[in-house]
Amino acid sequence: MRRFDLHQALAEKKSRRLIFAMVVMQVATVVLCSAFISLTFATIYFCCYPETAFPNFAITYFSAATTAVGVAFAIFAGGYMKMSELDGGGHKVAESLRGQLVDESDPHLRKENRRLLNVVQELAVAASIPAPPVYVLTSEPGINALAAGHSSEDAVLVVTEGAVRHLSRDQLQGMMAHEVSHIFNGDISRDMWLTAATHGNYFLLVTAQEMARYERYDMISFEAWLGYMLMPFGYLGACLARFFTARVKHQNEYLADATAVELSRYSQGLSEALMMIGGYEHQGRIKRKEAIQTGHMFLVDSGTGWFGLHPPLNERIVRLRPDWDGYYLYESSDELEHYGGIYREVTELVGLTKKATRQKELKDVATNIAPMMAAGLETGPVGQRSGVTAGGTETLRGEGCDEVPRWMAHDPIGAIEIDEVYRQLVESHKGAALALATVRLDQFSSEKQAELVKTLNPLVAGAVGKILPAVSKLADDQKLWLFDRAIETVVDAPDLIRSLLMDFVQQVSVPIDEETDLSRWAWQRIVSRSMNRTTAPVAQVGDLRPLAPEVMILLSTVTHTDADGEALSQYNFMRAIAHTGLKRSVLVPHDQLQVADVEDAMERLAYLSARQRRILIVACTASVLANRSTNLEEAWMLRAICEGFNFPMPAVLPGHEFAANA
Amino acid sequence: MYIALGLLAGLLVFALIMSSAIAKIYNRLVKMKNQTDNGFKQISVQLQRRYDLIPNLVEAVRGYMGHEKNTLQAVIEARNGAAAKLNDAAAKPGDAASMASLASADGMLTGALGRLSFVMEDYPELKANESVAELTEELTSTENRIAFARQAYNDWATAFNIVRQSFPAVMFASTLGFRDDFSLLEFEEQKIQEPPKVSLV
Repeated sequence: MRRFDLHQALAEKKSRRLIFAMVVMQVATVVLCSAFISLTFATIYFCCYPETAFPNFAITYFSAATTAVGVAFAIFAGGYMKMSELDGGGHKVAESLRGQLVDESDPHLRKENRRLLNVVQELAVAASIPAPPVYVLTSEPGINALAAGHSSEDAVLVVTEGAVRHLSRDQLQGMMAHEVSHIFNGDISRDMWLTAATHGNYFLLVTAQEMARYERYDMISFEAWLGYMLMPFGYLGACLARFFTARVKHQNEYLADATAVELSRYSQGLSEALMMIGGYEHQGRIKRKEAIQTGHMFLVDSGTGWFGLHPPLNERIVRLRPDWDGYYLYESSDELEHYGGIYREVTELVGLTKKATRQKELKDVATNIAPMMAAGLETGPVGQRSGVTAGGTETLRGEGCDEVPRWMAHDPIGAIEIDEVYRQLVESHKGAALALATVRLDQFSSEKQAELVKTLNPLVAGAVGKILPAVSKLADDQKLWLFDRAIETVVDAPDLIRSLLMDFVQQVSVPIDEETDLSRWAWQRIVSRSMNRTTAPVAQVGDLRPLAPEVMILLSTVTHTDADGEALSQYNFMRAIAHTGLKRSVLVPHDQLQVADVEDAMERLAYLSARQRRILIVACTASVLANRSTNLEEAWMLRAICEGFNFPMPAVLPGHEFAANA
Repeated sequence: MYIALGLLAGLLVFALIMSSAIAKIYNRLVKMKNQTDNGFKQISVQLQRRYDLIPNLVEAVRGYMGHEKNTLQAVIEARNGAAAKLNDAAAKPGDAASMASLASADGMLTGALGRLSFVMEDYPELKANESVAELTEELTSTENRIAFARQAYNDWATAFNIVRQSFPAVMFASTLGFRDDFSLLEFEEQKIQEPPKVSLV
C-alpha cells in the first residue's frame, strides 16, 4: 500500500456515508412504524364510526406522535443502557478478558514483553499520543489484539501471548500500529455508539416481544396487538442497525490498516502479520469465553460476510499488498528461513513437476498404485490386534469417520506364522527384552555383533549369544512379529528390565554398516516411545496445508529409507504426494534431512486430526510400496511413524511381494 | 442618512465576520505551530535517550571485543560530538546552522554504530549475552522512536505549511506573525561502509 492517504480518504468517505445512511434508515423506520400504527388506528376508528371522515386527524396525529415518541424512547433507552454498560473504559475491558498488565518497571520483565512495550511506545511517538498500557492474554496461542477505551487517555491495548511469541518485530509493529490507529482515529468511541444503536433496536424488538406475550383474561390484549404491530419494525431496525454497523466497521478496519501504514510507513509488517494469522494453526482464535462479548473488537474475527464485523482477511492483505501471491506465511521468519531452501526449490520445481510429472503421475497412481495399495492394505493377512497398536480406530470413530480401513481394523503382524518357541520367548519380560535386543543386534555384521556383545552386561551377553542364531534364522516379517510382541510385553515390565533395555538401546545406537541416521532414529523412536507412552496431543489440525513443510520432510524421509536412485526416489515421492492433495511439493535431498528436523516434524504432525494422519500414513505406505517390496528398515520407519500418530501399522510386511495387478 | 446607516451596519457585520474568520485562522495556526514545536522537542528527547544508551552498550561489549578499540573509540567520540551538538541546538532552538551541524554529527554517529554492529557480527558470543541483547533491543527501539518522531514532526510541519500557504490563510499569515514555513528534516543517512582497511606499510 503506497498511497495510504487515498485509502484513508476512501474509507472515511464511505464510513461517513454509511453513518448518514444509517441515521436516515433509523429515522425512516421510526416514521414508517408510527405511520403504520396511526393508520391502523384510524382505520379501526373509521370502521367503528363510518359517518366520520377518514382519516380522523386527531386520532391519526395523536397515535402517530405517541408511537414515534415511544419507539424513539425505547431505542434511546436501550442504547443508553448499553452505553453505560460499555462505559467502563479500557482497563475494565482488559480485566474482563483476564489480561495481565505488562508492567514496565518490573525488573524481571520478559524479553518479548519488553519488546512489545517498546513497539507500542514507538508507535505512540509516531501517533503523538501517550503510550497506552498494554495487557497480555496469557495462554492464548492465537495471534490477535484489540484496542479498548474511549479516548487516547484511557485507551489500552490487549495482545495475545501467541502474537507476542510468534510474530517478528516488524510484524508485531504492523499489528500494534493497526490497534494504535483505532485509538488515533477515534474508532473506539464510534464503535461504542454503533453498538449502542444496534442494542437500542434490539431493545425495541425485545420490548415488542414482551408486549406481544401480555395476555389478559385469556384474550389477546391491546398491548399484545401493539406488540405484534411493533415487532416487524423492531426486526427491521435491528437488522438494519446490525447491517450498517458491520459495513461501518469494515471501513474502520480498512481505515485502521491504512493508518497503520501511515504511522509505521511500512505496509509489509501488517500484511505479514495478517498472512501469519492466515497460515497459523490457531489463527486468531481466542479461547477464553469472556471474549464472546468483545470478539468484534479484535484485530481479526472469524465472523465475516454480510453481517460479520470484520472484512475478509484476504481482502485486507490484498489491499496492503496488491502483488500478494495468495499464500499465507506458516511460521516465524526464522523457521521460514530454515525451510527457505525447501521453499526456493518448491518454486523452481513446481513448474517442472506440476506440469510434466504430476499429470502423468496422477494417472499412474490411478492405474498402477491403487490395485497395489489394495493388495497391501485391503487384502493383507488378518490377525489378532495387539494392545500396542490398537490406537487409532477409536480416534477415527471419535471424529465421526465411520469408514475405518481394513488395515486398521485387523492386525497383519498378528497373522504372521511363527514357531511356538518364539511365542514362549516373548511371554516373559526377560525373554521379551532379550528378543528386542537380538532383533536389533541381528542387523549388524558378525564382527560388530561380537564387539557389541562384549560391551553388554555379562549375564545379558550370555543369553543374547544363545538366542541370536535362532533369531537370525527368521524371515524379515517374523523378526517384525518378534519385535512387535516383545515390545508389548516389555511395556509393562518392571523398571529394572526396562532400564536395562534402555541402556541397551543406548549401546546399540551405533550405526549399522551403511545404515542411515534415519533408520536408527526409527528404531530408537519405536522403542523409546513404547517405553514412555505419552498421551496424544489434543489440538486437532484438520488441514495438511499449514504443515506442508513437515509433510514434505516426513515423506522425503520415508522415500529415502528406500535406497533407490535419485530419479526413482523422485518418482516414489510423487506417488506419496499424490495422496496428500498438496499442490506444492519438493523432495528434500537425503543429505539435507536431519534427524532433529524429522523428530520436530513428527511432533508437529501429531497435532493433525485422525483423518489427516490416516492420509499421511497411506501416503507413506504408497512410497514404501512403490518398488513393490518392503524391507525391514522400511517397515520400521513406517512403524515409527504409525507409533507417532497413534495408529496401527498397515499390512506392508517385509518380505512380502506386491504384484502390480494382484 | 438611512443609506449611510445601512452601509455602516453592513461594514460592521462584514468586519465582525472577517475578524472572527481571522481569529479562527490565527487560533488554528497557533495550535499547529505548537504541535509542530512539540514534535521537534520529541526528537531531541529521543536523541538524548539514544546518546544515553550508547555508553552502556560500549561498556557491555568492551569486555568481548578488547582489540576493537578503534571502533569503540570512534563510537564514543561520535556520540560525545553528537551529544554536544544536541546541547547547542537545544540552547538555540530553530537555528538552522546548529540544526545542520547536529544532523551531520548524528549522521556520523549512525555510521560509527553501523561499523560497530558490522564488527559485532564476528562475535557470536555477544548475541548470547543477555545485557547486550537487551541494550541492542533498546537501541533499536530508540532508533525507531527517533525515526517516528521525525516523521511525526515532518507530518505536523507539512500540515502547518499547507494551512499557512493556502487561501485565505496566506493573506493574513505573515501579518499574524507566521512568516516562515517550517523546514522539513532531512537527515542524510550515512552509508555503512566497509570496515576501515588497515594499511601495512
